[in-house]
Amino acid sequence: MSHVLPPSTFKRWRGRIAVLSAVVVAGSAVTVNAIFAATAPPPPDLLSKGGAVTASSVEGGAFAANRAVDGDTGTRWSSAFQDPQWIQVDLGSDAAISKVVLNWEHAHAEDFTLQTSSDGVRWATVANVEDSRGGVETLDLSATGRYVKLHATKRSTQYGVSLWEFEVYGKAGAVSGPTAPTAPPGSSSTSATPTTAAPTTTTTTTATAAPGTTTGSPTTHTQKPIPPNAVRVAEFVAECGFSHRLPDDPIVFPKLAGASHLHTFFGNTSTDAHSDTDSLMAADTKCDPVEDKTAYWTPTVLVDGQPVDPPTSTFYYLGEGVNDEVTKQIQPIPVGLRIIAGNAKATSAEGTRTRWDCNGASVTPSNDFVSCPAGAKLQSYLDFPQCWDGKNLDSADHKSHMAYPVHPGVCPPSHPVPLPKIRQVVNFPISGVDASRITLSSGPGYTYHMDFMNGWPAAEMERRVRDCINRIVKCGHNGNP
Amino acid sequence: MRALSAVVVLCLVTAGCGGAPDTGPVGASSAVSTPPSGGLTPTDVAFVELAIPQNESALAAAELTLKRSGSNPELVALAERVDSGYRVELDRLNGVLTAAGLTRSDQHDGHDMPGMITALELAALDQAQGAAFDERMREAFRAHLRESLTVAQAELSSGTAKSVLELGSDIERTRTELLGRLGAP
Repeated sequence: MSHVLPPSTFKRWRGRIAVLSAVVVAGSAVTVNAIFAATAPPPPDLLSKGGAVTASSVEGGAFAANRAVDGDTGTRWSSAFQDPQWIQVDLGSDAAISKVVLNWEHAHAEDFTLQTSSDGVRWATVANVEDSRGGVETLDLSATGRYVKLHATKRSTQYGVSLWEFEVYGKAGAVSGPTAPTAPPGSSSTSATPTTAAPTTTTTTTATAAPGTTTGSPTTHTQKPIPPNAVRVAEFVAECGFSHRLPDDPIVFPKLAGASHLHTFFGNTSTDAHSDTDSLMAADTKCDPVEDKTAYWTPTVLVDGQPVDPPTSTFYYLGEGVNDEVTKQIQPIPVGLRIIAGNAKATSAEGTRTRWDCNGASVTPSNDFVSCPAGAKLQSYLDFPQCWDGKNLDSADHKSHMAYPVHPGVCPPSHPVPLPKIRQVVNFPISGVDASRITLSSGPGYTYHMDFMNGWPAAEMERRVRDCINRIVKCGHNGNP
Repeated sequence: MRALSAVVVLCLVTAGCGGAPDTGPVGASSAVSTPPSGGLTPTDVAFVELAIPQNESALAAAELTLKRSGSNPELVALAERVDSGYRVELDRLNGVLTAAGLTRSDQHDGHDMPGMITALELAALDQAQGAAFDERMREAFRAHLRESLTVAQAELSSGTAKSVLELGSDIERTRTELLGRLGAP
């Protein structure tokens, strides 16, 4: 017996499932049909056939996602052999959805949910099914939306999940009132629709009309499907040019102009001692993408005591450093967050995570400067701490609000919120220079550090984390796969 | 339990269920920020925490100057002024932190910052002899005094707390006077 319940009211409803199930089992199909005969609406239309379909994965070319909506019960969609998986169909416009019929292959989903959305961004969960036996499964709904997504969380076999047909029934354009999902979080409906009989199917289940919690995303973009040739590495990137140098540090010495050693600033062109989130957001940037208004800075690298020509920097925002399950839970970097990586006070090469090597030549990486031959550029690598305490955008020592992950790739209880890991790679135009001639404005090479003052607009950060990091897809500068 | 995990997974996919645990105030505005520091702004605290090691490093340089016989009288007089005046300032600087309920951060100790005469620099200075020692020590004091003046003026224009502004004002005055004693480089 399949259990269907409104996801937002799981605990309260658990007791009622048994009652609902008893009615289904005990009541005769005739009685149920008789009740419906008096008020039966016109039969709904099949809205999903031939609609645009996307899925989390496909097992191979013969099992493309559109095979689930081609009206041919001899062809099917089949996913990769792992949990979770999803398939989504675009009905073309908002519709009143009254029924979803799932025609499962033997390899079906035991646990899954159905979600609807008007914009492909904000989703409402309209059915939550446990212990499905597969077969042909009918879910009666009273939902609205343009997109319908089946999200399978548990497979019935070692194979993927596979659907001969994924059918959505209802009335196109017959949407009155607000479209799904609009229910405030925590709202619930008690108007579970009566069960219909479907004598020819192996399983009959009932879904409620209750929309799930809204997902709260303020953005209106449409999530881009993952191309079949996408690289499955959680990553988005910003390349940020040199902007200027100043003896300022808006994190360590806020508003104290001239208090710091010389810094080299990347990205935001306005950064100085007085910078804050608002001033950054209002300024220009040397970053690609231009949405990234972040202020990034390092101590200035000197050769024979003189600042070298402008370096170039790349900032990778990565899902790595934590295990895959945590990667899927990574949260957007909050507006206003400040992070420092590296150790300005390191007194030896052992005291830092900074790694120096050469771009264009093979040398043994070091925590201190290395000598790069002519034609190769001195290069620094440094990973930022990615676990946030969830409360403070900064801390008195500017470090203790952040932490590095711990074994086995999780954030520690003191810093429970996983964020994207920022990896900075900076190339300095220093070639054929002996390491002994190179210094930092902060001292030896192991005192290198990189400061980050978040200048990503919240919506852009959220979109990239959702589309690239959480989905484990490599995205370009535009934040698309 | 199974349905609950399904809901959690959904939250991940749709990036934003309100009820998921431990997601924290993501997207929170600057309402959460550096913890308040007993009436001192972050600028006030940063100034005090920088001025303390700056003063300590200058005190060490003054002690070295006074220890070295043969230093010229002007330099010795400057070192004596620093030795007495900076100790009083240090007491006031530490007192401001204590009054604000803060313990002294060591975040700049040993930090090679402008205005600091580092232990490494002092060791090198100690190797110099005669007039060379005097000249290098004068240069070290000059660099320190200029940076100390710069930071005091930044506090005066951007700081808030009365006790810290008074310190900034006194530091501005004394550094200007001591720089005058040193004369042009």
